[in-house]
Amino acid sequence: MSNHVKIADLKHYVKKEKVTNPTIPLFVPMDQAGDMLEGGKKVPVHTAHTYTRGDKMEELVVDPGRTGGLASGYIGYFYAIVSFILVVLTYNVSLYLAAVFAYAFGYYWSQRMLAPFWNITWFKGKMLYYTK
Amino acid sequence: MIEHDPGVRTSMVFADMKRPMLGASTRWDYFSKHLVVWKEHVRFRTYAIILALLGVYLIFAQPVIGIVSLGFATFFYQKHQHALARTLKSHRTIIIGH
Repeated sequence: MSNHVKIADLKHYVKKEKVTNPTIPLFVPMDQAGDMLEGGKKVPVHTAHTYTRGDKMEELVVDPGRTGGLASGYIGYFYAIVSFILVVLTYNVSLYLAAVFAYAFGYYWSQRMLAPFWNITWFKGKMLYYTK
Repeated sequence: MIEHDPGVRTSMVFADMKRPMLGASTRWDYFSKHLVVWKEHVRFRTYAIILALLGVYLIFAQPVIGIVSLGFATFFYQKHQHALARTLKSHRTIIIGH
C-alpha cells in the first residue's frame, strides 16, 4: 500500500473559509527620530488620523467643486447636461454664446469623470479602523 | 506633565470584552457601506418635500388624500433625519491610515 494521496481526496478535509478581512498595509515608519520637526521639537510621525464618520462622509460626499468628492462628480454631471441643453438652445441664437456653453460642458464633463479620483478612487485600498 | 497630542485622550479599557472594539476595513468598503444610507437621506428628503407640497395643495382640493399625503411627508422626514444621523451627523470614530 503506497502513501500516495490524491489531491482530490484532500479537498474533503480542507475547510473552505472566505477571507473577509485581508491584511491591509498601514504605513508605519521605523525611524521616528528623523527629520520630522514641528516648531523645533521632534514629534512622532503622523501616521494615522482620527475623524468622526460624519466629518469624513462630509469630506467625501458633500463638499462640492474640485475637492475630490463624489458630489463633485454628480454636480458636474448635472451641469454638463444643463450646459449641453443650453448649447443646443443657443446654437441658432448666437454661435459665440453656444461656444461658451460648450466650454462649460467640457469643463463639467471632465469634472464628472475625474472628480471622484482625488479623494476616493486613489485611496480605495487604504486602511480604515472603525469603532464597533 | 507630559504633553499629549490633542487627538489622544484618556479612556476606559474593557479587558473582558468578548468582541473586538475596533474593526478593520478599507476606506472604500466602509464608505460604500454608508453611501447607501447617504443616498437614502437624499431620496427621503426629496419624498418629504414633494409630499409636503402636494399635501398643502391637496388639503384644499382633496382633503382626505391631503391628510394622508402630509402624514407620509412627516414619515419620510423622520426617515431622512434617521439616515442623516447615521451618516453626516454621526460621531462614531474612525481612524484613517496613510
